[in-house]
Amino acid sequence: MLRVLRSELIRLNRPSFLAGGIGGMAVFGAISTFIGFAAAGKTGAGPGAYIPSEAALAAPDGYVAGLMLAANLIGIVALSFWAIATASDYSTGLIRLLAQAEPRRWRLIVGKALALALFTLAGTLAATVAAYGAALACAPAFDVSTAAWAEVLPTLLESFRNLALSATVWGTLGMLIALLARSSGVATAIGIGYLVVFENMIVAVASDASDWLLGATLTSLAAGGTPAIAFESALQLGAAYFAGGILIAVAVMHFREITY
Amino acid sequence: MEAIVTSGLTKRFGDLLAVDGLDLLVSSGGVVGFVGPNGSGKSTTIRMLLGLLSPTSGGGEVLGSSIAHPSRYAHRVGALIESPSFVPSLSARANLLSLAALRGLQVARVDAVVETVGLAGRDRDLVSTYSLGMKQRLAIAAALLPDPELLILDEPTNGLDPAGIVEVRNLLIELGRQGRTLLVSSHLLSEIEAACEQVVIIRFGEMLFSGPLSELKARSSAHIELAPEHEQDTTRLAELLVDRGYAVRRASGDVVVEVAVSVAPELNRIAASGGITLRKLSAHEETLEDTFLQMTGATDGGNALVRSRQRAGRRALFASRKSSTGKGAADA
Repeated sequence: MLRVLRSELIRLNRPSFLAGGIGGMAVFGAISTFIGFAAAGKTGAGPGAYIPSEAALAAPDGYVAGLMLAANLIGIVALSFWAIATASDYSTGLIRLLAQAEPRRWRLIVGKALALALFTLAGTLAATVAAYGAALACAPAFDVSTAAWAEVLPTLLESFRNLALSATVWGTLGMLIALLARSSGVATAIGIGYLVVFENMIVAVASDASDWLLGATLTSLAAGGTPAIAFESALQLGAAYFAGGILIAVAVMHFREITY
Repeated sequence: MEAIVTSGLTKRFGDLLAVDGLDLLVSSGGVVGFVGPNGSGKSTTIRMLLGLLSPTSGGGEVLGSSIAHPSRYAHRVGALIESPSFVPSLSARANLLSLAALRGLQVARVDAVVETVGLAGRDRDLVSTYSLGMKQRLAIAAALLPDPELLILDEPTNGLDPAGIVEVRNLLIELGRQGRTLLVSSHLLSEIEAACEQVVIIRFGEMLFSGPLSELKARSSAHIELAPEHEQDTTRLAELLVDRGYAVRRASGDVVVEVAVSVAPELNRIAASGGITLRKLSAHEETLEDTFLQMTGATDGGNALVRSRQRAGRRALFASRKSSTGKGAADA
């Protein structure tokens, strides 16, 4: 397993992944925080959009309030990069070499998931740090008091943990769809389409579904809990989505014939 | 010991029978050519040997282990399957390091294979900047990483220029001399002829020939065409040759003798001894390519046509059996 992990990490260590993935998450963290401060307290945002109030920004954990705006965006970045890493094995034909060198294919998929989880940890850590840096810069610029800001490190670590868990489950979804479709584009389109359109449609028809649907679950996980789904429930549901995604991916990898 | 043995190896994709009960035997050591027209089942067979595809029926062994358990021999086998497959935005070295890590190999192996295939000095360049020939050499380097006992190379000279083809051919011969077994699939017979001692020919997933290349060459026929200066001497020329024990036939006014081309001077002497001056003495020897084409069918299109006709024939046979069965039942 460690061999697969090391092999995957070598392949992930390329500029497009580091700049696009980790850098992208950091940029989204910073920009979302800026928007949070710039738009604080404003109403009229789109459905489902969360804009923190000025009071929320001035609260003891106000420096991470903007980060929550970025949670789903960061999730989509994770989904895209997990999908790209998976689909490119097929588009380049590398899967033939990998499966020949390691015929126990479950190891290939679990090792890849581990490597991408580490990548996601690095990205969400960068996003958390960038969001905090942006908050420090934005607070005086938008006249938000930082007097009450406290317990910075524990709060940042907690936010990072929640964001990383949420993004990892998003990534697992991306890996699974890419494995089924053998296309990162299709995986990303399905991920965005589901989050932006489909889940809202389901909730419009069956409002109780917002207690367990993927988007709502991961939003709750990233935010440390929402009125609809408590954090503990979100954690359990997220773990179930993650495990289910990995199990299906392992089964697909095991049974699929490599004809390309 | 046999490096590869298959017994009734069969692969079906829906209606398409890609490999049809293939019995293959490749002895250890040396370079073995695996030849067949495009679509003959070479790549499918190779993928089954490497555990990428599961046989529909039949089975086989690679280095003494069943192909149902490829993890038992994967560390002893290197392969190039179809086209070179690497991450273009990584250097050649990083690609090889990634594959070495997957196999649990030391970095020293990467240095060694880079040296072997002549990519030293260019191994830190991005694969996207490589020519097709360099990618092909990189793919061979990847196949050599585990220092394999068995190398399976699918079209290793694909896309190479003449210098690259010679380079790869020499590399294959050298690897064969080191005691490894190389199964080299190709549709370029000249390459097979230059690099291989043994050859396996398949068509429509069926084995047509397996054995030493020399045996295949011995199957090649040759003939000499003779025509006298004066047409009225043709019959007398034929009689002279028959008297000397040669079997002759007439074709387009020529006398044709089915003998090796080396007999041509003797035939000329026989004609001269009978006072016949030859207007034509033309020696024809079948090339390996001719023999191959006779065995496998003329072209890919020809194969497709033949196959389509075979399928149509089978359908017609099936339909006639069905109708005769139906008729029998009705009669009963």
